[in-house]
Amino acid sequence: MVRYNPTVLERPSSINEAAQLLKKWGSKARIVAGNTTIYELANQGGLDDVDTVIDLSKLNLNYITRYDGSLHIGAMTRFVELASSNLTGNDSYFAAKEAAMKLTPPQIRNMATIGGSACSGIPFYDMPVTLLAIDAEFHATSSDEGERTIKAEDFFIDYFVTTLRAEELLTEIVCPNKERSSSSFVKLGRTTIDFALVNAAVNITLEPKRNRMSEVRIALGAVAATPIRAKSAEDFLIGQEPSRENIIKAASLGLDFEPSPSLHASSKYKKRVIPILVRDALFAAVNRVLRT
Amino acid sequence: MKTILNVNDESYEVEAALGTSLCDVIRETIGLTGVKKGCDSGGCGMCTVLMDKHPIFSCMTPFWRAENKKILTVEGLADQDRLSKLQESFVQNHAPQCGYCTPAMLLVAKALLDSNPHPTDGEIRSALGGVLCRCTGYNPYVNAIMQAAREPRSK
Repeated sequence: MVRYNPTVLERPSSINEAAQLLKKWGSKARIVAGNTTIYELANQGGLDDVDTVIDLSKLNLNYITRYDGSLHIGAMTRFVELASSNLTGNDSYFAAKEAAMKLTPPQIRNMATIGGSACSGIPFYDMPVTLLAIDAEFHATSSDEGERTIKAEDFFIDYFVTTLRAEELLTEIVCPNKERSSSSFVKLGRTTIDFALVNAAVNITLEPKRNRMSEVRIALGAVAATPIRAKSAEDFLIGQEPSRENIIKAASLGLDFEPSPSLHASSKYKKRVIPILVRDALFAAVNRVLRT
Repeated sequence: MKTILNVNDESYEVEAALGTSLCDVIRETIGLTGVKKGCDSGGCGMCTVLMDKHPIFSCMTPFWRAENKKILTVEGLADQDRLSKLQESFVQNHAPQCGYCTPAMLLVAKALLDSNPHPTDGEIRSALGGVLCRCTGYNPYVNAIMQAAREPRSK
């Protein structure tokens, strides 16, 4: 039974106005970005207490720009725009484009937003795990406390829960630029249009003058309540050459805990596929760095 | 909420509860039932319409999001009684079987050919990826779109 029956539609035309509306309505309000998660959440009874929807489509938060080398993605940017952006494998944050391109079907790419994907707090979505790997920062604003910046590590808290408070609004996601760095995203689903059974994103950075890795970030999705980093594998690779042997060894280290089972993939199955996904993601990222 | 929607180049004044999907408004309020309702949760693609030329799931879109946009449904493809080239090609290739997914297939095919007049087999299959055919008759659809792409198009 659909119990979702909002009675007020707010369409703010500025970030300030949106922040004030969020303060006014609090947890009675729900922000609508691409709307692709809203109805399903409502069907599950997750929006019973919501009577106001706040539509952000008039905020001009749909943009992708680069300054000081960093990539700035407006929270209302849709997957289709990121997928057709001019990012290349030379960019340390290339995985963001790769994840957007791999999101299917095309109808969802035309609707879903990057900010909505992050704020849904759903650990098997493709963008959260990618943003964690590429070291993204989240810019949020509220009428009482103004702006704050949140690291990806601190953004995702639990299933459906992010660190954002009810009166806070995500405005922009900033992905830092790193020299001699690239990233990749890989996904295992039952079919290409399905949600991930497990997904992985990595970002590797080489030292300025020699082919040793100075920074390695490996993130996995659909294995815990939030996207999470594989620290043992990262630690193993730092200071090492990005060789085939090192990558396979690191990937075999997997996670430091049991991955959570889901309807279509047991914990045991996930433990078997994680090393393969991590290996493939590392190979792809390393190839992109060494090619340039 | 009351608003005006532009569907197939006609304006419709519609009134519905805020939580109502574009799919329900097009079918129930406007009465254009070429838009189908399958899973009602973005999994099957039956409800696909074009919004400003891009395919979207109307079951996942609040109807008020279509304000000031141009919506195209399967009813807007033919010119009076004359089928579009794409529709003709679907007929000639026996593409529709039960027909339930055909409106959505036509619309994703139209969006594809409008932006990419000579798609590859892979590009066609990617474009159709969001529309399930439970008769599993995908190949005739691909062939029909290939044929339409080869012929000069009037629409």
